[in-house]
Amino acid sequence: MLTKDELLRPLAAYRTDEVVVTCMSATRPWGRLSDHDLDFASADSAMGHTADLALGIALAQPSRRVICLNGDGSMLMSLGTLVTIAGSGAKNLVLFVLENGTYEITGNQPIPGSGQVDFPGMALAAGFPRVYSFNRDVGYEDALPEILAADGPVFVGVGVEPGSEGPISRSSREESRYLQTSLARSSADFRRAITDS
Amino acid sequence: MTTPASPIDGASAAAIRCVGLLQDLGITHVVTVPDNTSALILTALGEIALASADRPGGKTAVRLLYATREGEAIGLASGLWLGGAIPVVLIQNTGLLEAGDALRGTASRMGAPILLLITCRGYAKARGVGLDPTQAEVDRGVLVRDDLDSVAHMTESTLRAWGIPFQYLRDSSDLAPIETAFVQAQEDERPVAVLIDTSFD
Repeated sequence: MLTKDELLRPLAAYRTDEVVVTCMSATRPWGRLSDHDLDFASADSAMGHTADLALGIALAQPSRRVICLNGDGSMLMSLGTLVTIAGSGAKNLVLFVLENGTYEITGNQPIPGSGQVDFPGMALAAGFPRVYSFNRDVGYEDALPEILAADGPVFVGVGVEPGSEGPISRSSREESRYLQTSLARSSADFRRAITDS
Repeated sequence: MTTPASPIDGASAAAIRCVGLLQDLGITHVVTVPDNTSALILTALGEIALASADRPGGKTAVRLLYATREGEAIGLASGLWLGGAIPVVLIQNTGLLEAGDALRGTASRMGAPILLLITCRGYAKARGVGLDPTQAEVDRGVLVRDDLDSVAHMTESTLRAWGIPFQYLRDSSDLAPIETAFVQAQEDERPVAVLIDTSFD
């Protein structure tokens, strides 16, 4: 398995003007590595809807690449979205699913089917034209340029070690800029940034 | 109101007028899980899109997106709005109940002015047995009666509880409630619903 840092640090290094939508336990770690106007935290809101939210952004902005950092527990809450994404033909969407096997935010309770679920297999069966799977950092960083340039929708399943991220709030006490304002303010700022740029 | 240059096969005049209004309002996407009432609007959307493709220089067709469930439709529409698009969500009132936390946690908390077009299953049935679905108390009788769809009796109260303003569309020849709700959503910066208690035959 990769640590979250091994997953996210190379991604932050390669990322240029792509949208990055984060979810649950990826939210703070990404915010420590990135402070970009096109980062959006789908956190402290509706669990299970990060992937469909990211698909919407991708369809509204077809010339801009959208990277979604979803969790495995969140993905399970809306598995049908794999089919919706694949059926949409959104070439500019890259869906990462961070497979830690747990609901990390609430104390690492196991997700249903933890250790048995084949997310990349389900993405393939749903119709994703490109599916990657990494359980060690071997090959991951080398594959990133291809992942970020490929015609999608692209699915990337990554086995990651469970961490100890606690509940996420939106307040000035949060370290990351994208968590320091309300969801409404953050949404308005993001929409302005993406339509102005 | 946009009127297609030529008749469109299969779509009703009322549904074509509805789609024309959506185009006039600048709607870019309709995100839906279909039902029997919305089917006529979806037919019109599809056929107008085909007609637009044959008519260079015409208005951009509204893009139709099908979701696997209504909560997904709300999340997808919220993302479309974040990306600068102007989506509407077209679902049945049963699906509205399914979409509760998606609506609360995305569009409502984001302050996204998304128009929700909600078809009203069960309303005609209630009236058929002498009940007003907007008034009847949701007691055990309403919940279990075979001759009622209980969702009809929960729709208004659910929207009120969730802080979603709404108005009724009761005559498909008068689409003013759709435009009024759209304007209200923009002004209030939140989702606003139109309860479609009519058919588009």
